[in-house]
Amino acid sequence: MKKYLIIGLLAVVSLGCDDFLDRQPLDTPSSATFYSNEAEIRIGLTGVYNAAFWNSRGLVPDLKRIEGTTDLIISRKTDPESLVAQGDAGPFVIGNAMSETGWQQGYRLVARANDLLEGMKRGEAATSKAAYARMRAEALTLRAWAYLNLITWFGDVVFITQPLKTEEFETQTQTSRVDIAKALYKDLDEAYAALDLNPAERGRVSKHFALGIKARLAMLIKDYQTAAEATNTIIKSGNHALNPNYQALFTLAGQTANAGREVMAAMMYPAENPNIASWQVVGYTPRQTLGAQSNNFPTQAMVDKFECTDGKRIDESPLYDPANPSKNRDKRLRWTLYMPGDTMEVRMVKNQSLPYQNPIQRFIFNIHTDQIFRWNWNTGKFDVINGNPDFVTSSNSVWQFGATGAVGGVGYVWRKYNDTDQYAWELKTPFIWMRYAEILLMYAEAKIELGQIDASVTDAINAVRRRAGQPATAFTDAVKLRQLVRRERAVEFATEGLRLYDLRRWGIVQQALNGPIVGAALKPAEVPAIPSFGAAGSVQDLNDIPDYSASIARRIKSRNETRINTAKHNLWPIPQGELDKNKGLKQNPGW
Amino acid sequence: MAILTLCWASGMAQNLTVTGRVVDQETSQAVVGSNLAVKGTTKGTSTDANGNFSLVVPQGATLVVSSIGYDNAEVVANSANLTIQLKPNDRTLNEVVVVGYGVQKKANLTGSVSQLKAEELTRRQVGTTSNLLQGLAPGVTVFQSSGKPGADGANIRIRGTGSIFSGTGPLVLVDGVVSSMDNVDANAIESITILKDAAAAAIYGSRAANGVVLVKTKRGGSGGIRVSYNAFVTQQVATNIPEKVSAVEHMELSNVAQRNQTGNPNAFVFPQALIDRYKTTAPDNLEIFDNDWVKLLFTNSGLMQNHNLTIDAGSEKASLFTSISYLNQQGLIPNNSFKRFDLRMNPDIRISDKLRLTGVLFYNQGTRIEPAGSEPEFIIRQAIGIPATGPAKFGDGMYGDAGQSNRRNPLGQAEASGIWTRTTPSFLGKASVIFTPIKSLEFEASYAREQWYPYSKRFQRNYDVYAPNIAARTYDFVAKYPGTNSLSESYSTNVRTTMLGQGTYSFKNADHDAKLLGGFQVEELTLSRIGASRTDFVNEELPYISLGGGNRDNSGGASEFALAGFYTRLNYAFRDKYLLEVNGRYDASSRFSQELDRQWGFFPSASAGWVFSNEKFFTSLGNVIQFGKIRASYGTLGNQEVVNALNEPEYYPFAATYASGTDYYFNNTINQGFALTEAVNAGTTWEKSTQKNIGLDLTLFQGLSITADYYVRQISNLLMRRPIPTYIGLSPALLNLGKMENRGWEFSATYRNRLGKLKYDVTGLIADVKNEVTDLPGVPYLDEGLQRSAVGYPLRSYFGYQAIGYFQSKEDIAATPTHFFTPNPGDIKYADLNGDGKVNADDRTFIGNNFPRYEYSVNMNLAYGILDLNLFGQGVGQKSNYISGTGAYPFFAGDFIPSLLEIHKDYWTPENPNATFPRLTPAIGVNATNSSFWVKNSAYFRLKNVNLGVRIPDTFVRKLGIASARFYVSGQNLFTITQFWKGFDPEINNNNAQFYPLMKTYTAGLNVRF
Repeated sequence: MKKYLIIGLLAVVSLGCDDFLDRQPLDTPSSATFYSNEAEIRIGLTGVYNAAFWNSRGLVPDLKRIEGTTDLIISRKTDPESLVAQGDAGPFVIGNAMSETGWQQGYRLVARANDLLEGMKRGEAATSKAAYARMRAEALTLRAWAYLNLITWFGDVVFITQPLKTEEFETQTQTSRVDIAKALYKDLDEAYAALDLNPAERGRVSKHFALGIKARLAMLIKDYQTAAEATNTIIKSGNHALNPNYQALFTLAGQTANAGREVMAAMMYPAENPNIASWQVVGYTPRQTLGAQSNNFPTQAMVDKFECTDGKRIDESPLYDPANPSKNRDKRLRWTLYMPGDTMEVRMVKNQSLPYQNPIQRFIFNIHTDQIFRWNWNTGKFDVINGNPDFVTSSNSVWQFGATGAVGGVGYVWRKYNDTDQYAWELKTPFIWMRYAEILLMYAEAKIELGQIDASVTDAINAVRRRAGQPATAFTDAVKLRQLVRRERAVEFATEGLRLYDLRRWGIVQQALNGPIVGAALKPAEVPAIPSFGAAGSVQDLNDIPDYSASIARRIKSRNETRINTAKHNLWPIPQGELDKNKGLKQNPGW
Repeated sequence: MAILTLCWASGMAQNLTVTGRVVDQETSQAVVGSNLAVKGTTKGTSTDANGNFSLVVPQGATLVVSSIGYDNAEVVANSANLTIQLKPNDRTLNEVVVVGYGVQKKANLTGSVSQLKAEELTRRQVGTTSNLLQGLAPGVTVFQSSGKPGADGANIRIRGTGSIFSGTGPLVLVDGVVSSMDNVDANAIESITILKDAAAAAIYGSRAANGVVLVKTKRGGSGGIRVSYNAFVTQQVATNIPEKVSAVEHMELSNVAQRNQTGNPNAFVFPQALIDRYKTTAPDNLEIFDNDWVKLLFTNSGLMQNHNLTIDAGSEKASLFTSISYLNQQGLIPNNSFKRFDLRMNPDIRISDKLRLTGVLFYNQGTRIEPAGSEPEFIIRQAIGIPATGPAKFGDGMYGDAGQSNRRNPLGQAEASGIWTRTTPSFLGKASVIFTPIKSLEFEASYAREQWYPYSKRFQRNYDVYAPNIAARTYDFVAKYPGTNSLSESYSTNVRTTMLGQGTYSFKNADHDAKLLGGFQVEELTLSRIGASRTDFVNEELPYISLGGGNRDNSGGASEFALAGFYTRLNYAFRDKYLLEVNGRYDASSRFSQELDRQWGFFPSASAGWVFSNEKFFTSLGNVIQFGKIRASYGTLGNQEVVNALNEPEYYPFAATYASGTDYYFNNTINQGFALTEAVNAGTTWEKSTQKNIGLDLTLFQGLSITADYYVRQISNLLMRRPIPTYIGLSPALLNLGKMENRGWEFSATYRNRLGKLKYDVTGLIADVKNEVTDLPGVPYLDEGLQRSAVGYPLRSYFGYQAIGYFQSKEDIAATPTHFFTPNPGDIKYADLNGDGKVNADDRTFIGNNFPRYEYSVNMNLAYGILDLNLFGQGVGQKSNYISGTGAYPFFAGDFIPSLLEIHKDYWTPENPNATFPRLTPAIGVNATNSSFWVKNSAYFRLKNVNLGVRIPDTFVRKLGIASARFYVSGQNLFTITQFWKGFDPEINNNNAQFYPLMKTYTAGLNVRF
């Protein structure tokens, strides 16, 4: 009896303890309560956007880094993206930091979006219907953005669309990239219906960005019908237009002035925090700049993709002068990169430091003599200074003999995104994810692939070319139009993060990422021969892939870098750790 | 057996006032603090500092006189003046020991318990009480890793490390309340009990897995007022500090390193002309510098003084013990000190024979001062690492740039970078009501509230950097360092409340002796904090938040947690021969999920003992074995002390919390975001530890007592963050997965005797514990860089290559398996353990562990007339220590331009093929690869304490109104025997020369009783 009394007493007291022992986190939102109202869903959504801020290594946008894995760029020899570009000559091994970072960033965004999409149901009743639908649409769009990139990089991946239970972590399997893309169509259609056409805040995803992702997914899986419809909807809406000034797309002031028109989505940087910035300019300034950190440079193949002003490729145009290669060229060449002899301006300091930094430095990009030409703001003249570290034929030139590969390209420097209005170490220009020019070119490409060539196709291509001052095309032949669209994409979007996507879906990785990387003339007096672009109608020809066999001895051939990319490089390897933890996953072919 | 002498006097009254003195039968010295009780009543008193007492008793009553260390005596009170002689008794097993929620006779203990008494705790003079435990109890490992004032407390591990990623320290209770023992002045402590096995600790349930330490403070007696004053002054000096090379050596060796690196025999960093000038010109602090940075920096006095006044006042009805202490400890470097003031009042009120009130009132305030610029450890590391050629100081407030491009100067940082003050006032109030309705039944209810308010104010100011102007032979101002001043302040409020209700029922007759305890306890902890910071203070003399111009920032937060538990214990003894104890606690923690019913758990233990010396058949051996007992125990304990990755308490491991700082930048501005970043296991529950213990207690002959124990601790449900696939997008959750085992034994022996007038006792201890990780499901190993935990190996073992000497020549390199780097002669060579002809990551292995094995100590006390001497040595038989960074590597710092140490002069050259260090290079490079080369034997034996006291003759001090006085000198860490690196302390782990030295101390002290 006494025993039961005691047990009874214990039971009563323990029940009373329940309240006493119920302690939930106080100063942090917790899963039990978070997303309970509109404001909480909104800051949770900001947390999802945070996971789309891919600016990981050296404060350079990761998509720009990934562009360094393509034929357009040569970067520091030991950088992971450089190892990817070199392929089997790299070595690009499983565990490469570039591919692992891509996987990790992509899935972090997926996880955050999934958590919000599930958790926000708690606050649905306390949120206005429109706001709820819009915030849900934003998360769906960002998740689709993550998967678009993941399937571009890795092919068939684990497709997770809701938060997983602990016991489900290691039992996931891969879904084919076609099925993933098709599943995402539905999400993006829902998002399209609920998103704002022109969001009040810059940096939020819009209706047409959702459709643009759908188009990119469709292009990736060669579903050209869907791509043509999606892009056509955007074009027909009239909500977007090309910025008449190409260069203004890549400056903070230019983007702000043209907000919501050409730039459809971009990765944002905060003005308030100097430590969250884009170091693109810092990363591509040559050593003759005061305070430079050079590591990522255009290749000769990039330079040679720009047409002459007659609309012809350099090997076909009578206007091309190999002794004076910057003459008579597509204006985008000068807007995209600097060539030897160009006058450069950069702003590597915050405050004036005369005579050379006002705070802008101006100098003549010179690789052919031991001299640096630095603008003296006091005297209004270029000072000539000996000891040019970029002097290409000197005994310790970083271009030619930088054996460690720490620095040095092949004689060219990026100009795109250089903005002298901003201190380069605190560059805040949003990094463009998608702009209207791409919609136009995707529309044209989809229609060409569908065999539906009409005036709307050439109109779309010509709109982009017109801005650059290039002559309108009159081609009606699908083969020539396809070649032109592909060339347009390469020169229009260089360093904007589209090249790897394009190389892979066009199936030309092995051709484009093969052979030695060459650059400008070693000695201007010894003019290199014009490259060959293969036999007419060959893959090389139709994709403008140059062959420098005839001129290789006369060109800068930095670090003797030669790339060998085999079929397996059409996809990155799934990180080994994932296969170790989940035995059900399959590695990509050849890895 | 007691012998008593009665001095007769006549007295006719019913009640008699008896006054008298209790003395030692053999020495006739007063027995202080002995208890006198009137038999059959609760009346009683105790003797004062002179052994005197006074008590009103009925004529003819029997007085029972007891005192620890003496046999009890019974005296009939039929005289007004008694001298009672007590016979010394070394059968300390009759003592009473503090155990969980009660006391117990030591002879009847069935668990593994060590108890330390007041006199053992005041022989050493330290600033922090936790250090006093070192070497005094077998199986209790005490790590002191810093000598920094106010931060020199020790970490305690009982029977090895009990967890991988959760708490590993014991539960420390001061007078029944969770508290830091470092807050308590040693003079106020009556005893410290360490509960080591499951039988002893299970009553503390989910918090007992790492053992329990019970600190009991002194309480008032009933014999009037006794005052004592204890004080000491201590000079502290560093036990070890590495010695650096001179300016000339620094320059010459830099050139050697440069030549090794470049392969160019003419390469140099410092031109020979400059070196020659240094050799011929004395340092002038203008062009020629040869600074001994450590000497320049270690200018603080290192003095420590402690004053303690205790007042023990009481009558039969009420008593009050008061202790007031003040500690002032100066560090080795400027602006580095610790001050502590504490006041303790322990009242007892006897309302009636059935009702008593006891209480604790405690106020403590510790203030720690450090330079604001950098923590003292980093300042000291710079002083050890910065080249002697760096300019230090040119005049008052004029600092050199220390040869550093960033102008960070350790001397400037210590002297003139401002002050970081951390003050923590704490208050504790505890009240208990004890109700005894009948003799065999006792109820107790208590309430305790502890509040502490840590306050931190760090104002970093600029110091002025000057550079020599050689032409003018003056110094020019260069810059302020760091250039921006800043203030940060934070306050927190922490409250812990504990409530307890319990009842005890005792039953005793000739054969059976039983006691049943039952009770419940609830505890709640609430923590809140707020902080603010700003920069750009125009006037550095006014460091107040509102005056800062830039970077205005603030933060705040709160957390709380609660515990509840029901506990019970049954003790049973049959004829004092067969002993049984059963403990159980039904315990809950708010740290775990209520929803999933993970909060409550049951933690039982059982133990039994057989006092074989009480068996009839044993009486013939009684002269040899006076007492003998075998004990065995088994039980389960919990560990709810979940910590996060930063080793801070994690109060909500069951909940998914959203991380702040996941912002995004709409419109190019910062928008606040929150995100889930960590997977969560809502089912997280406590780690469990099952302990088995067998033990033996023996008392041989007259004075030799021996205790031996063997135990196995099996720990399961260990919380681990098992790596999960990256595609989950979250960092891993805590899962109850791993298993680990600690096996060990403990042995201690004490011998007490006397040789004529020389009284002595010697205690020797030795103990060992071996840890082994037994299961890590789903994880091949836990990788923490240098340390790795893998199944079959001790937790956190060092992992790396096996070094096998140096590459001696090009031929040697060619004949050696290919290494993962391109070696040069003089580089460290590693073993190709798997014999595949290549040395690569697959050849790494376990190369040592820093948990001490075979800990031992010898503690000896001698007393001869007025002299007493304590000698205490402690050591570790086996331990490895990996040292790296500024300390181990020449020309290596990572965060400043470094020099090298005197020991590094023994470097490899073809002519010195067996050097202590590899060839010199400007950066340590490949030779810093984790390898056994840098694992050093850090076993040691250390003379921890010598204390020599002299009692000033009573006849002399009485004239001054003093009852007794003792003067002593003592020293700690006076010498060390070790093979460890010269200049580094073997007790400090993972030594990268970023440490605050442990102290060698010289003390003079005084104990006075009035």
